[in-house]
Amino acid sequence: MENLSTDCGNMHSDIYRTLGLKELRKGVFRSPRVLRLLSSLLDKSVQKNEMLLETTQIKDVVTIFHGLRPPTVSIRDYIDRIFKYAACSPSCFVVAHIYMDRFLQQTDIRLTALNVHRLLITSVMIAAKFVDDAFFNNAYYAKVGGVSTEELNRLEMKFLFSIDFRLQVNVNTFGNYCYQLEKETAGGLQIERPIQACRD
Amino acid sequence: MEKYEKLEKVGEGTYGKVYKAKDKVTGQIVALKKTRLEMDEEGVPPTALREVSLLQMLSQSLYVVRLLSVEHVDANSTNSNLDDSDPSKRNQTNNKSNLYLVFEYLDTDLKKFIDSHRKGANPRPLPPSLIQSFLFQLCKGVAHCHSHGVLHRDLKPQNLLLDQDKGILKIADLGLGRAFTVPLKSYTHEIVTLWYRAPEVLLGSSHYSTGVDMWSVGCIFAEMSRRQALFPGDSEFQQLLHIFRLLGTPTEEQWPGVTALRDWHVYPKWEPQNLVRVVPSLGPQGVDLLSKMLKYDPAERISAKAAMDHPYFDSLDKSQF
Repeated sequence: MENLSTDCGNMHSDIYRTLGLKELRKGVFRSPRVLRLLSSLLDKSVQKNEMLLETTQIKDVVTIFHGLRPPTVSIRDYIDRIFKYAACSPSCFVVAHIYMDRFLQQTDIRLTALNVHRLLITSVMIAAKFVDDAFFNNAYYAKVGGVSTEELNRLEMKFLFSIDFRLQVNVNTFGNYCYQLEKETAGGLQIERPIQACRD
Repeated sequence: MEKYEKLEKVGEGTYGKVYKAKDKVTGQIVALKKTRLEMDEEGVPPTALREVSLLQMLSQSLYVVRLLSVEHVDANSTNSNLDDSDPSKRNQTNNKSNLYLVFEYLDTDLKKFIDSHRKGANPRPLPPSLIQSFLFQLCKGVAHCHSHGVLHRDLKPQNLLLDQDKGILKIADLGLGRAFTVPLKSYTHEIVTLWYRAPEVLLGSSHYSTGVDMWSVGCIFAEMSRRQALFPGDSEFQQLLHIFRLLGTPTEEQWPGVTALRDWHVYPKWEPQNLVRVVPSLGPQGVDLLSKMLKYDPAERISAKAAMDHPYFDSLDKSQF
């Protein structure tokens, strides 16, 4: 039948499960693997870009997403913090990653330690607003993200117009990003086996 | 927004006022949906955010209302010459931040159209060929949404705009729309105006799909023929009883899993009535299509795409769509 959600769910359901995108019980997700994989991916991307900016003389564009100096909190801790307090679907982090890529492509900005945090809080919040039925407001996300509400509102508007409000993510794109995250595991970083998540 | 001259207020959308306006240069008539961003805490309202992004994607279809542009008017910046020394004034200008959605303008909607045929100077049924044409366009629009992974979730006559001269129907108001392609937390139950709400939603099913829209399409189909709502419930419980009285109380045989749904109770056992009694003017093919849209088991309910191939539409010239 036309029940697309089920069909697509079956097609990708193994990878969804290993990334921790599916509920263990109704509403319960234990720290999903997707968080760790995404932060490792973003970390590498930031390192690569900073090396590039250092070795070449390319000047990075400064936008409202850029801070004066890098925040002290690591990407990993920042992502964990957002997940802990925002309680959004783990899928929101995959979707947010897709939005960040769309933003970076559209604006020709490089992901660096100066902008990654603001891009993260903005894109996860927009993802939650778009895909989840229950979500917190901007003021709450601002507290979680350590920025003022006014600033987050401006970031949100700028982000949305930069990606031309293209928020819909089709199942293939979503699947591809999931596989890309899966590959991150194989990519050398030793990951302790998520034993606790596998035992029912 | 100086580009447009506001002509009149034509309604209130899910999240703001709607104006009929004219493009000062081209003369094009548009609908301006104004979203106030005064509620700082919320940022861009999620309904607006969803509507814009879904329409950006769906607007190529003739049967979905066309979004022409989105504009952010920040009075704070345009009025930056105002006296900044007075903080209370500055707050006022802050509050004037608006997001405008610019849509093509259509003169009426299906609810007003049905009303005009029920009451007023000249009450008369809707011509059967018009019902057929509107239903086909509705199915085509819904099929378009579903093929792009979008559930509308609030289909009702008010949200179907009509171009009366051309006889065109367009789906509007995607503020409750939701993408359904990625694994998510449970869905909300606060969707779809009660009268058009599918039984699985009323019974508390947490993972529903395209069938919820098709149920609404069925209710709208019947309403075009009857000129009054098929299931006009005034509470969730009454809504279910309306449905059960006509279609019979559902059984596990008809709809596997129904008695395990969260809000299932023991209901009086009604026998199914003959649908012809409520839509006598629809004809046998129309009644057959309606019965397939109103199947209890969402998995058995006809899809929008399959509905377009139903014999009810055999006499319709589909090449015009």
